[in-house]
Amino acid sequence: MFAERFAPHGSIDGHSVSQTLGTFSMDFWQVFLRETLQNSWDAREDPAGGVRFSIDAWRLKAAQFDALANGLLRERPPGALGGLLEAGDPIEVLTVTDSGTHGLGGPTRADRSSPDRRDFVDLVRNIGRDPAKGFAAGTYGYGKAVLFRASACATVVIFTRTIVRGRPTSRLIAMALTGPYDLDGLRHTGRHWWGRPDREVGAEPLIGQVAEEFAELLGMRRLTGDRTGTSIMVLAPRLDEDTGLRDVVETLAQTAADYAWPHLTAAPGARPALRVAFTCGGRAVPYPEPSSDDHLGPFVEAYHHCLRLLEGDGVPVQRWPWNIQEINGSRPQQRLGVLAWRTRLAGAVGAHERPPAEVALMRDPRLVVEYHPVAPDPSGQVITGVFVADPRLNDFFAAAEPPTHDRWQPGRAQRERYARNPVSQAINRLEGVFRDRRVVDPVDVTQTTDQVGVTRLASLLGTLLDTQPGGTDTRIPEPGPTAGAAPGAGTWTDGGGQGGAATAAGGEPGGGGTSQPPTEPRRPGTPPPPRPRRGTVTVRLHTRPRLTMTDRGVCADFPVDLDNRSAGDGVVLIAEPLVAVADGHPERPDGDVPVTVVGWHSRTEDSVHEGECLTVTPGTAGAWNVRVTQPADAAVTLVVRQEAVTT
Amino acid sequence: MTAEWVYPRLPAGVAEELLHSHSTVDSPELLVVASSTTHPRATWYPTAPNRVPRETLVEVQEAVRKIAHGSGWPTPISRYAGTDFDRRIAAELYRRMRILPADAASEDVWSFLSLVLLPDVALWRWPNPDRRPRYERLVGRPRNVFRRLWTRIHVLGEDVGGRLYEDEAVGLLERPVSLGGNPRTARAMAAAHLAHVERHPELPRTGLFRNAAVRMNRMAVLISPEALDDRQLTALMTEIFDAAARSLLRSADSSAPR
Repeated sequence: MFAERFAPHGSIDGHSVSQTLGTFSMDFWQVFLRETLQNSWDAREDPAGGVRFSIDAWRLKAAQFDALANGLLRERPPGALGGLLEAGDPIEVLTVTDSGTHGLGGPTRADRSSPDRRDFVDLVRNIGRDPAKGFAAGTYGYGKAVLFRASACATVVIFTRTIVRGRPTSRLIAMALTGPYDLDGLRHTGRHWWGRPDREVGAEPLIGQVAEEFAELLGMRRLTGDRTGTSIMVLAPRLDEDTGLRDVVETLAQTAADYAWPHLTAAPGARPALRVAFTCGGRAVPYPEPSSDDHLGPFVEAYHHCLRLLEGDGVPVQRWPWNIQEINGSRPQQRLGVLAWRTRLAGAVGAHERPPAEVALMRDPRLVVEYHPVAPDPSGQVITGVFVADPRLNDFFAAAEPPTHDRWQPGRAQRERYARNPVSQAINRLEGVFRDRRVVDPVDVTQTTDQVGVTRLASLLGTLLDTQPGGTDTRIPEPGPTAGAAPGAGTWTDGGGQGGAATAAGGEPGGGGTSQPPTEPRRPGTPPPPRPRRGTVTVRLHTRPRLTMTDRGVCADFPVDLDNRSAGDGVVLIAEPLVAVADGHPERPDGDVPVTVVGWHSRTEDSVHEGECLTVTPGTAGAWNVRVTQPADAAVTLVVRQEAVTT
Repeated sequence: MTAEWVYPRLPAGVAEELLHSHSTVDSPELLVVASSTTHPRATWYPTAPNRVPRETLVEVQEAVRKIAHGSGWPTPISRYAGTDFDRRIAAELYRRMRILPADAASEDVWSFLSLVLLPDVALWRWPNPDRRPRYERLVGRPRNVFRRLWTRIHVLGEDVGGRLYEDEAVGLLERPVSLGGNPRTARAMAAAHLAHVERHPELPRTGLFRNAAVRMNRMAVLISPEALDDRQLTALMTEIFDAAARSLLRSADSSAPR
């Protein structure tokens, strides 16, 4: 252990951690997720490439605990860390890993100048950050505080694989913060490092094979092969008094979906730029699939409408029930951003629930800054909208964000007194859209806000109407060529509870794909234009699966109809079985309830594709059964995802 | 048989105003002054047969305060002391309140209890320094400071409710559809759990419960436990816990050589 002492000319102490006991609210874990995820996203290796982000929580196995308590952290500063490790009970840990990212590169000593990135010293050695770096450099600036705050003993173990001078390098170091203290007549700052003892620096990281082996021993196994990235283990994560580790991971997973859905969804045929995974005690913790989630789905759809307007010719096309508009500023006359919103029926109950009226605010890099409350709907409906700042004004909006990136504060972006401030203009006009709506009929306002219950009843009755022909109700997409090409329109769930769910084609054009112009209605048989196209398939799942006896035992056949006229050069459909539960979202099958996809069986031809994948081109038949094994004592549902054919 | 009382109700909007003003008060002692047995904007269920008399409200107030004093009120409460306080107060609260169960399903009743009758104890047990506007521990939602304790005793009974660990009880009651919504199912689950804990002392108790709860959550899609008689319910629970214990033993075996 190297414990930093105060230099004779003074130092900054390491006391940036509050050690208060008592409750530790879930709000903190939301901040934690946003900080770590944004850092990972900013550190991506290839700006157009993908990032994998995962959080794994578990109780250390005896060997893992031993490697920490009696190995790396054998010497310990006074404070919480010692107490936790000396009790001898294996502690819990929470590990955040990103890959497809740079890793922590640059020199390992803060005093060496380097022309390149200095990610390692910025996270491990320095306090504060270089303001010239901006927030896009992908290092932990403000954010590193959350890592220490998250640990009850303010201790983390950092493992990273990065490229130094063109060669892959692994590094592992542990850090802890305590308050300043006196020992042997010397004053210590409270900052500690564990690694390889070094006469000058104190502690240098373990490097190379030694670092790899120790990471493996601790169970930090997400950085497989020679992928670069960073894995940070938070020791003894702080828990609220009746929330367990799993509750924290669930909150983190939910927050990731709430905050990063623009990157978790993808344009039809493209891969999402961000992939996330969450586990607790080795079991996967599910997170909502944004494009089919009841709450997030409408936001995803709104975002699509915004993108089309941003990337199109600037003429809003109205698509009922959506309201799509530009928010324009004056003096100078300019577009501040675009807004798409709609109202819909509320599903929530309880006296303390209000139908939410929220607009998700975002700018580049398209992570949700805030769900901004707007004036509620006078008739008690939910308002869902997305506002995307005009990319030309991105710097203004970025300047308006506090270090936590969770609000726009126009005052921060005010460059000189009395100057027109596009951020405050944007927020005022955005709020005005909903305020003005509210005062249209003041009588209506006073009378109907108290009658949310009637709206709820109407909403319940409305669900009985889904036998009406397609197109008249927004929940039932109109069949036809345009349905497949309208992103977001291909996503719906059947009404049958146990029957299954079809998820298809939700999402945004991201990565290399640009927004697709709506495909013009084309007669079947007309040759498609000769350019490579990313395709999309509309998938419809029928409500009732049928049980059949096969040589693999009892199986369930889920009838599926495909509209593959827009399938382009090919789309891969992937069937994923899920196990239904009484409380909560369907879960992935596991060892206790195994479910496998036998294959795709054509209903019209004698054709079988074994396994979960089916490659669809415009020539493929449209009527299929997805056959899955039926486990004893469980109900199975099905989700169909689609991906572009990779060549 | 003695009557079951109906309690005053504090409308949601008023509760949120009170929560806001209480949250700004620094010390629980100052909230004693703010407490009361009535509130000008409280209402009653219109056709309630037996409105709770003032004396009973005072008794509840005093009984709760007495236990709180024993747990160190008004000094800020630690996590373990908090769980201990909950355990000691739950049965007492249940016996003293004698609330009509249908009335206990109202959020407004628990808002009244937490923010008008006993704000000094409620905000001591669950302080709200961030001034969260609809903090679920203090308004009458299901995880309200008093409501969840009352529910625990009502569903599980004093005996079983007292023998379950905190996270086991939470695991039961926060799965309303498959387990906690029906007292018979919840009790059968708890009884089977306690029996298996005795039979398999080598298994991690919380892990056993979690594993069985996952199984039950899947099973409840197919079987409606409400429709089973006691014998069938016991058989189902035994089957589920046996399977959970087997799977834990199996995974312990397979990880042992490592």
